[in-house]
Amino acid sequence: MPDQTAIRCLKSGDIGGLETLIARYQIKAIRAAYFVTQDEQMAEDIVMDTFLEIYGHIHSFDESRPFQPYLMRSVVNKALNTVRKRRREISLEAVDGTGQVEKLLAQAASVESQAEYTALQNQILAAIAELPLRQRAAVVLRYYLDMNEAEMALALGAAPGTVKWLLHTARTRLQTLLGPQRSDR
Amino acid sequence: MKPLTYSQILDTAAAGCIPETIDLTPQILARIPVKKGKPMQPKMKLATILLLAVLAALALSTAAYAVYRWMTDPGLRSVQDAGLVTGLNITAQPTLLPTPTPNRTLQPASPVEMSQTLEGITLTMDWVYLDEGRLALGMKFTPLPVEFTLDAPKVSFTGINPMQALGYSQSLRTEDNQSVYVSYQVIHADEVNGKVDLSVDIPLVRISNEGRAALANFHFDLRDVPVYQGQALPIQQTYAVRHNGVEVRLKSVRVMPSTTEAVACYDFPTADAPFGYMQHATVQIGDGPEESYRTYEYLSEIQEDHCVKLGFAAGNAGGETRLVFRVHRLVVPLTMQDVLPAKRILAANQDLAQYGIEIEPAPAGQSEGPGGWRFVRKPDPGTDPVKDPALLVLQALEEKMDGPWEFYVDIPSDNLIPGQADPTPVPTPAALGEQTIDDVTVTLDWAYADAKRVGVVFTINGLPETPEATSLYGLILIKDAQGNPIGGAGVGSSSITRLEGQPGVLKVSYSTGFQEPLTVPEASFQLEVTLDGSQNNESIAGFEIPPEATPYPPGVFPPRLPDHLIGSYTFNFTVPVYPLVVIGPQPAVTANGLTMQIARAEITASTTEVMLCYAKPSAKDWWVMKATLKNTTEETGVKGGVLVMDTDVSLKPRKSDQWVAPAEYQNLEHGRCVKLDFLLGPAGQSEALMLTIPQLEQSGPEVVPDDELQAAREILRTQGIELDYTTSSSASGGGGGGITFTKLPEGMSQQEAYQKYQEALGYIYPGAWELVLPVQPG
Repeated sequence: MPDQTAIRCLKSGDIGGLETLIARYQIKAIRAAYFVTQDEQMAEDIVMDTFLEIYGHIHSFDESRPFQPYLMRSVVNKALNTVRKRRREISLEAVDGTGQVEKLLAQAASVESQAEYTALQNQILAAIAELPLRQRAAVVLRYYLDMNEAEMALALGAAPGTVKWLLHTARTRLQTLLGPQRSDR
Repeated sequence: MKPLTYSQILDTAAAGCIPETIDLTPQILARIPVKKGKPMQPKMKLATILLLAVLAALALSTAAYAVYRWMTDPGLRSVQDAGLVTGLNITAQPTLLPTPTPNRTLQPASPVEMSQTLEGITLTMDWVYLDEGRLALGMKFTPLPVEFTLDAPKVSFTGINPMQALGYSQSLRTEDNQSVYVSYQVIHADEVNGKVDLSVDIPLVRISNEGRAALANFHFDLRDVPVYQGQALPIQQTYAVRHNGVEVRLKSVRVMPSTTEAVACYDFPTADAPFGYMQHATVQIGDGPEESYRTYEYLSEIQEDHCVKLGFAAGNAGGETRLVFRVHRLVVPLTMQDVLPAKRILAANQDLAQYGIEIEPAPAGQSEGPGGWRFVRKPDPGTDPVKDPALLVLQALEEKMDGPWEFYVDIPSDNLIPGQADPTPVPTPAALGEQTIDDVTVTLDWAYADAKRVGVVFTINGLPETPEATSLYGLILIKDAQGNPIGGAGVGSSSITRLEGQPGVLKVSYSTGFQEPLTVPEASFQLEVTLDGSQNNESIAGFEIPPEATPYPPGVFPPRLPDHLIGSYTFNFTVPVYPLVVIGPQPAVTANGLTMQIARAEITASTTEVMLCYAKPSAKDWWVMKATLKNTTEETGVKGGVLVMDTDVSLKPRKSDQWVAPAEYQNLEHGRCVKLDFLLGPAGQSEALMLTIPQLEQSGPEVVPDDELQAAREILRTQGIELDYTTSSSASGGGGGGITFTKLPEGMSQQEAYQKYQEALGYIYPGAWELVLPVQPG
């Protein structure tokens, strides 16, 4: 069932439409939320809340627009807000990850084996965790969810100039971490 | 290893913490409540209450107004009071055929009925309508799968290049599978011999999670499409709005049942801006809520600076006819390459102090954000994301401009195109001076004529009582004995009112002027009254609405009266013609160092025309905008006027013109003579008329130069007045501009403020001049 059909079913009261959308996107959504929150349970709660909010406002959803970017924008924004609200409960103070990133640079450039790659993955997660919150969200939107800058600006509620700035800083750190550009965008 | 994308790398990295086996479905479904009935939305409730209040206020105020005054023409009132009118002693002749509507008749659309089937979808081009200002296409299609849609038609005009292409609008209705498209451009019917060939392409598009993909292209060649003269299609939209020097242009609007798409282009907020950003824009369908955009896309394919396509989660499923698009804010975002002057960075601290933030210029490489600055102090951002210190700094540093730039769009509908009109009902023959069609009776009460104009008063009885109607729709014509319509002389009036305590009874007065003064003692005329609210007929007359009445909200329109075609009524009558008196030069009057003189006047019982001559204060266009004429019982303002002579302007004398400026004024520095028209005469009772000119006004330019505007603003600011200056143009080439007062001293009206604005610009020369005009040659 295509997304548009699922949304139309949901608008007409068929809850099966929601089940379809959850099954299709929940894993990616939870992982996106996890990158921002660094907390598995919080990520799951965020995705559940997001699906419930979409369900509540589905009558105003524009069927001609793709559903996935809308869902992911909602998830990342909710993750940002949730982390900010719980800031006193979990330590998310930004630290300077530059030194750590520089150490990873040489390893990332010469990954050839699965073992090395697996090791590098953990370090990638750690490096992302060290990014300031908004840069972390920018990285998720750009590199995990493949959004362009205009879409990111909309998602973050920020002007394109702000997005460029966030990405500029984050990119410096992550390109160091991930090696030469591998993205196809 | 095979290279992976960043997304794949990150996905596998997260898989260790978030495995594929997680399923939130049961937990989500368990939290969905059982649905109950859907209440009316609070905003809709408020809108409904407001509308009812407005309608009630209109009804009450209109009825009250009718108690003491109904006919707005002082000249006709005077001649009626003086007993110069002819009563109900006339013959009536029913009209058996429909009354032809002259001039701006909406011609029928041309049937096309061409169909194509592509990808299982059949698209039928139903009809096409083309006049000198608008193109309309009517289409229908077989049901579209949810992932399919039709893009806007791309129309080519074979062999000609239309001028002034000023955008388009389209409604795409999936509930009944129809679409109407209207575009605005200029074609001269004479230059294409009244017809043109069109080529129309309509892409069929599939929308999926991967984006939009063109599947097929419907193509129609339309031959010999008639080009009607004029602009008759009753549809309009704003094309460009200029607000405080920055212009936004609305290129297109597509309205679907649940969504709307707008393409707009805009100037840079500042000339050296690297790029702009439309930070806040909304659309409002009918009287619904304003919806902010959900999607924002730069359009690089439009060869014009700064064009964006905005998507809104608001559509038209309820037959609304009006849409309002508003741009509320433009900003110039900063980039990492920007290095702002230290003065500007430090000035931002004034705004930032309220958040506990202070910044200072940062050396190269140490900037904490775009613009070259760093924090001196900043608070913990707390839990509110909009209080992110870095974001607040950016907002303080970014150049921004607030609107609104406001655009009104009539949503295209096939209701605008005439279908099979109902045949005109045949009126029931009735007694002299009174006719009835379908229980609606028109009675001719009295008629009057003088050398300059003919007027009638008639009563309509039997239309539904519609207090909220603002106009009576249809057509009114007075013809001479040969059957030629009278008019075009720039003289005339119309008024209508409801009679208190008599529901459904309307009184109408109407007059029209002769091209040449009548010189006969009596004359015969024919009055035709057509009551028709079915399509685009013109308004016969508008009800008086007190200035304090609350206007209808945007997109809300009053009901039509009548709401369908009733029929045509015809009356023949013969009345005496009161003569014309010509008055020569009168003594000059001086005030504030400037002398004025009535050089000539033409007076009938119900009209006065005077030629007023004076030396202007300067070479500029000093005009009489305000003037008052009094007889013994009535007073009126100037109805119209023309420039007769100006020694600073070269004017060709008009053919057969009796109004020639005296020689002494033709040789005077800055000499000028103007002819002023008034719908008031002596009515056979006054021995003299009094003409008062309070001031001369210099006409302003279409756009007030910035330096003049700035100087005026400085003056007005000392008087507690502040204003915005905006210009706009519509898709049909018209438009206008003006000021919006943003701050006024307590108790000052808009009218008073405007006078102050004119004075501040130096556009007023105060008088007053009081001139006595005898009504008989001396």
